[in-house]
Amino acid sequence: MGQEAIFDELVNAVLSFDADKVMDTTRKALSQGIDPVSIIDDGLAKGLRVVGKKFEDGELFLMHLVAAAEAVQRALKELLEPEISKRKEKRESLGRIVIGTVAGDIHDIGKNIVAALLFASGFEAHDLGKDVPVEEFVNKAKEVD
Amino acid sequence: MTEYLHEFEVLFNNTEKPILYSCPGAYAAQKVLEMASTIVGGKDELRKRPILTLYTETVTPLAFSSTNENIIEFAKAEVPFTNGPVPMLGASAPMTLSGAGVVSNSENLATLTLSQLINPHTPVIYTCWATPMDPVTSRCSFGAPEFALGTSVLNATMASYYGLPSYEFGGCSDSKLPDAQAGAEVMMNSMMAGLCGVNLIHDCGYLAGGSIGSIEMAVTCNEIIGMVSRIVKGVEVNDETLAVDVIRAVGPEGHFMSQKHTLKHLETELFFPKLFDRTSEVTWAKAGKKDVRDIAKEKAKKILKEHFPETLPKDVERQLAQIVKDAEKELLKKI
Repeated sequence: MGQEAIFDELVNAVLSFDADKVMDTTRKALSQGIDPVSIIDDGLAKGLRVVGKKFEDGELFLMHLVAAAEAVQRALKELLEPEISKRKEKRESLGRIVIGTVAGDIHDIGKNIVAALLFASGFEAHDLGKDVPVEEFVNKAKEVD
Repeated sequence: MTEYLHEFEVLFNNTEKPILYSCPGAYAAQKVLEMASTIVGGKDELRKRPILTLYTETVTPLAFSSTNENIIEFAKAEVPFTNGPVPMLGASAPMTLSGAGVVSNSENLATLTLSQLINPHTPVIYTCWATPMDPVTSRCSFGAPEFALGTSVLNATMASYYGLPSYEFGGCSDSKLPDAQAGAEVMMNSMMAGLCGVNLIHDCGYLAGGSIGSIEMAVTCNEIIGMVSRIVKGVEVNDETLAVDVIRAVGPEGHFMSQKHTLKHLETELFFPKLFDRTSEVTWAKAGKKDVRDIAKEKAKKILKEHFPETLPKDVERQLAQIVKDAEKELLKKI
């Protein structure tokens, strides 16, 4: 099976909105020796961009967007990021973004979507989560700048 | 937070009607209760004659926040409150109306428990709401059929199960104008609320999913509510209304216009529109071909110009202003 096939499979896994399927396919790609940065750029992030476009065109709903974003997020955190740091690789980035929901606010769905789509478009998004104090934003910005 | 105190001051000074509104957190609640006590003549009087009801909202799904400390203050004062959880289908609650109802009911039982632990005499108005989030815009849709179902059927059923009075929506729409969409949605949710027998119904004249308050839509809602009330009244069937004797007396090919029975029942059997037009197209054209939206606007302007509510006594007015002023100072110190 060529690399194209596994990338298609990754895109389709994202479009299935099934986190387990995204995890399994990511594991499969890693076991085939595919570079984790390529798994992101040519697979998962590409899948998210397709979901984003379909949402924009009214073919998919907000729930699909959130489900896809969370599935990709899980594969990143649990499988790809550890692998990337182990190999001391770096994903090419259009810029670094620090994002979070401000202190006093726990509504993070919108923020998660923005972070996921920024990531899908090639930015390095540092998501601080919800109810984040100003100091944390400043410290993180200084740290990654 | 002081905005709520200013809003309450305006409300107290400009309406003779009971008020149902929010004052988040313990401090605002204390101050608002102080204002209300001042108006009615003390805390005991307020308990006997509560001129206001607290509207508070738990954080769906299944959480309290510090704003809900207002429940504690109202329970202590024995003034009614109602909690409005807004579980949105597939977002802050399960995708199904019943599932969202479970979330809503759980939150409300928690607020009831809290209030009754503080004061077992706390008057409460129950809600069980399930609302749809439009999956395209992510806005809560006030004009959706599921909104009407989720806030009336579930609500009225559960309230009657618990033997509590209920509270919900009617007269609201997603449309940005008081147009045909608004009319259809308002009629739908008002009718559902009415037919389900919900006790307290709010949000009349709300457009754009609760983002716009429209005075002319409120005037139109008044008309729609009149029609709904008539439908809720139903068809009375008894010897008097069956009118067999009258039919026999008039006989075939006669008329009923001058019958005593007709005049006796005329004004109670029919709903008389005050806004909607039933004239012929000729009469309507002669009167300037007005759209009901224009008529509603004219009527709203007339009411605003001519209606003056009974004002509070000057000394009470001054005391309310003083409470707000002192609270502002106190809050500034805390910053």
